[in-house]
Amino acid sequence: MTVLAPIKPAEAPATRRPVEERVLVRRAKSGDLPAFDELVCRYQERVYATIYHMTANHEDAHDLAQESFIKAYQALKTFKGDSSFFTWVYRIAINKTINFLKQRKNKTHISLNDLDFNAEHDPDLMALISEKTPRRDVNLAELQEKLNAAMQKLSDVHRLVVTLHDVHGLSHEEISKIMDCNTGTVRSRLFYARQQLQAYLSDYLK
Amino acid sequence: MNQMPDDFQDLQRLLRLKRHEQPPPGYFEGFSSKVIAEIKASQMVHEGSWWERFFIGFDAKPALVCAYSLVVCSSLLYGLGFFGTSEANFRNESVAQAIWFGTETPALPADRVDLRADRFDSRHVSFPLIGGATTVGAEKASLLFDGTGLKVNRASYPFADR
Repeated sequence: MTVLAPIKPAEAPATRRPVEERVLVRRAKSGDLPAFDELVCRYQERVYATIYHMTANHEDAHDLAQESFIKAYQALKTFKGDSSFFTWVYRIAINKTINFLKQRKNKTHISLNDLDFNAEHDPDLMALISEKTPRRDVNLAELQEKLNAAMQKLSDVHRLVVTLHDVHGLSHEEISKIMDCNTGTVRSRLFYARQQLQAYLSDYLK
Repeated sequence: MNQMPDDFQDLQRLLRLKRHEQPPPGYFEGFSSKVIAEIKASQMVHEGSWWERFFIGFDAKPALVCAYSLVVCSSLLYGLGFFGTSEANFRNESVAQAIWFGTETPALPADRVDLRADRFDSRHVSFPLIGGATTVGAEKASLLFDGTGLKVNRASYPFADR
């Protein structure tokens, strides 16, 4: 005799809604570490990427990103909620990074990550290389190298503005909150930084 | 401020290249758990007793071990040196006191001291001398005391009138 296994009810589709940031922050404030873990997971890549573009070093970016989140947890009680948690963490990360760069002033070591696979399939980049660049023979890796060298020539604040605006796509208002300055300062810094980059990369841009 | 957006259009496109600088796949898998582990570790340090914090501090900063070892060794050596000096001083003082009160015989060469009762000569009166040498004369003081003033010798002088 064959015993049939009971039919299991169909599992509900994954309709788990993400918990709101302020709820997670409130829970983390009361010592709920899984809630803070969730916050770290949400922002780790963006925080890491920003620090990475500032330091141009993989290990430094990793360590500074970790330290920033630890510092954020320790200082969480002082977070009033005037800005978003993301902006607040960003500010901590950036302050840490700028302090770190000041200490590392004379030690320039660049160990940038390789470009990912998608870079070679980015139509904008391909068009830029094939049409706009005077030196048609240049390849992506070389272009990346030149771009990073030019970025490293900028001052910390100018590199930061370019990174946040042109690489990460943040608005002037968001950047002004992160950098604790007004939007006019952000705009003027961005303009100056772009001018500098344009001059450094004149061989590669029309 | 006029930003002349067209002027930077190519530059902005070029800067997008940096978005493709990504860490290797799986890089962030253990990231948040490491952060949480660090937070827990720091909480344990704050909650632990002072000696636990002390030894955890050693784990975190191995240089502290060397520093503490150096301090402990220096203290030990200084202590031993100090104890040795104090003990020598104390011994000399004790011997001097014992001789003064007659509870101890000074360790002098046998040819210079004879304390046997059957050989006691009443014409000779022996007495210990400590400190000033006025009773034996100034010319003998240098023989009885060394530079530190701690050398004690038994002196014996005959009385001329007996």
